[in-house]
Amino acid sequence: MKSIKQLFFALITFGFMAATGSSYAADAHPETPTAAPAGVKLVDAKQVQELQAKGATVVDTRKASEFGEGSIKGSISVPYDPEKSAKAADFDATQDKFDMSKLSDKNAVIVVFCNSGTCFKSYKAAVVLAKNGYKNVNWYRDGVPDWKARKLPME
Amino acid sequence: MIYTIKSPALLIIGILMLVWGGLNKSGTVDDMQSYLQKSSYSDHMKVKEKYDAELRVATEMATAEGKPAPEIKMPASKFDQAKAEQAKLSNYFGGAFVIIGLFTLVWTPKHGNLDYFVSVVPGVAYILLIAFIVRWGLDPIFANWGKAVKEAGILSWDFAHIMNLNYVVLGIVIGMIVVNVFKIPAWAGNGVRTARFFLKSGVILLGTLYSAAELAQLGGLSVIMIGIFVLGSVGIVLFMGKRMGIPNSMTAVLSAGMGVCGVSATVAASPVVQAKAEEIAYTIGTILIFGVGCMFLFPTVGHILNMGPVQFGAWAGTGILNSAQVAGAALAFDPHNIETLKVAEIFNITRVLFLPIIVLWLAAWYVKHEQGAAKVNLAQVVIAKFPVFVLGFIAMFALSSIGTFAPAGHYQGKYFSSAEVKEDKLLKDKEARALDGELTRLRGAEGTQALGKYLAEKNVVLEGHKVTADEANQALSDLITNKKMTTRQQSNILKSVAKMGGFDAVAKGSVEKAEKAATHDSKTIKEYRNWIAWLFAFGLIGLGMQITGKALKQAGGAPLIIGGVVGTLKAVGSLIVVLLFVKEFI
Amino acid sequence: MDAPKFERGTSLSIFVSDRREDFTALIFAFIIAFGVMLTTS
Repeated sequence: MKSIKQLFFALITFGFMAATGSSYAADAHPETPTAAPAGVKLVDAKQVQELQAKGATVVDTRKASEFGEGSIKGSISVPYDPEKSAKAADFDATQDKFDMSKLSDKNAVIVVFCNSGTCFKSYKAAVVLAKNGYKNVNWYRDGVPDWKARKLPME
Repeated sequence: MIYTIKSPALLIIGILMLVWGGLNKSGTVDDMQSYLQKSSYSDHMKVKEKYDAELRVATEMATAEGKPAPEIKMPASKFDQAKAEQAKLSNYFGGAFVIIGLFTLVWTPKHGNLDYFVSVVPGVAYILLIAFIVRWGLDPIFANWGKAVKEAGILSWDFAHIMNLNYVVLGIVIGMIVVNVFKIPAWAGNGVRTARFFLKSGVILLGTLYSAAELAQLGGLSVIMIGIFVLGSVGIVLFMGKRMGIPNSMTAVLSAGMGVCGVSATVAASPVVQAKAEEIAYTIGTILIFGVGCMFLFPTVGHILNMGPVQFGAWAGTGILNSAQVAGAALAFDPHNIETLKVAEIFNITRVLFLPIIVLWLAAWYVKHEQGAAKVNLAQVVIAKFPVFVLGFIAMFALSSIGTFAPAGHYQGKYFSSAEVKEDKLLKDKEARALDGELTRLRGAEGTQALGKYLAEKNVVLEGHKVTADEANQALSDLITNKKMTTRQQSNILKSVAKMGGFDAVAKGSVEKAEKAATHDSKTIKEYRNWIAWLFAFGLIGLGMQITGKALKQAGGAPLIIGGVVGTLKAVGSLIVVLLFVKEFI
Repeated sequence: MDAPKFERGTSLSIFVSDRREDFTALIFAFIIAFGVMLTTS
């Protein structure tokens, strides 16, 4: 009797370990695509500076508290919040909230950014803007860490 | 009797631990750890991003100037710290166990103290290894599993969270599985008996987390609640026992166990009522089986009813029968924030302090109902049986209240200090501007009305009096001027005000940031919590190993019925009282 | 399945008596308490 119980437990343990093993093999820390989505242009720090000089609207898509802590100088805060959809290229935008009323001109030049590769907010914001008819959406993928590293103006 | 049993087990356990330590240090298990230590890993990702950006920029600049790429080291993240801590513990203990393990293999044990103490080590190592696996492996696995199942939509709730499948519960379950399905290996036999010792040490240390400030609020309530339920339970058991015709000694000892505090109370009362060994065993069996049920059931009910830490602590401390099970339930309910455990322990200790009163009562009762009982010296019994570790707890509490470990008046190890706010945590201009905007808005006609309505609706009270709009505005203005919170009262006021609907998001974030900046964690207390968590994990696994099928079977028949009835009455009764009268305060 | 007979302590503790266990736990806890206090402040 005892040995049957023990065998049973051994089987459960192995099954459990196999299940967890395969689940952690799946990617738990996804990164945004390196290519821009349709209707969006991928830009780097230098291009952001040029666009800003020409009067573009630079949008911080992170949480308001992160914006308050420090952001690109001259940017405005339009948080992509709450972000409930999965962190993947094929996300479901209906689960999230992004208040586009602050960006009234659909023809204006807009630059969205957040926190670099693992942060999906600016990526999702860019996709949503493009889908809603905004013509000039630029995505600064490298975001705040990059801007800071280059010692560009923060506020 | 020679206790040391020659076996390579200790050596093997030591080697396994060293291997784990080595794997962590070398980074080989990083992938698995990134899955297991999710929250510290996300800090790691932030640090890495910043580092990547800096490295990339520096490399670009260097290449532009024709210089070789610079070598910058990545700063340590919380993830690295977590891994380092695991490596440290594994290596220290693994190393010690390997040395002692080798020693036991070559040594010829002779009867005596050395033999006895060395024989304890393998069992301790055994439980410690299980504790490592449970705390570092099973706990995060179940946590992740619960979240994943909820996200995938298979269940609409996080089963791991609701059923409290954290290291506490898993530890006890593993302990029970080991003793019932497999058996405790002979070489571990002596060592697993240390579990209760470590549990007691943990309870004593718990005293360092309290301060008089909190007790002042809780003290009165606990005495009243405990008084009613303890005396009530004892009374009901005595009554039912007499009615059901059970021997007086059995009834009396059962009432002590059900009324006061499980095993220790049972043992303390036994000589006074001349209880027989099997009656003591029977009582303990009943208490354990009921207690185990409560230990799993209480936290689940607590979560379903959305109880706060103070409420649950009061309920568990009153309704559950055994110190260890109270601790188990409290920790299971809230393993990461020891608040619940502390409240539960206060109630538990109060209950233990009732022991002398109960012993006196039982002695009188027994003598009255049983002519011919030998005269037992009551005073001697009470003094001889009082749990000394409770005194230790009180001593620690006294030291903590006068500020030995952290600033006196600290709460949960956190204390408020405006002076200690770091430079880089002061409010930035942008944040001050946002707050200024809100202040202007709130001083305007519409704003004043909204603020007043909000304060009244949410019944924002500070130290007994209702907060006025003027006070709120003053607090906000002071915050802007000083770029940090100046007093604890203002901090609390602003915390509530910021939650108002329509409050600017950036301003809200600034208030929260300022509040956090002025709240400091005592490193000492944090370290104590860590120790307490490990001592409890260890002790509870050992506790699980004492819950054998046989012990559970010993409870059966009339005493079980009485025990069940009284236990349930106590559990339900205290739940009602707690829900009605205990508010989340402090 | 019975725990093996111990001539020292009880089947639930390695200490001869509850009292001894409590005192040792006390000493142990104090050592930890002051040890931690001295190393963290």
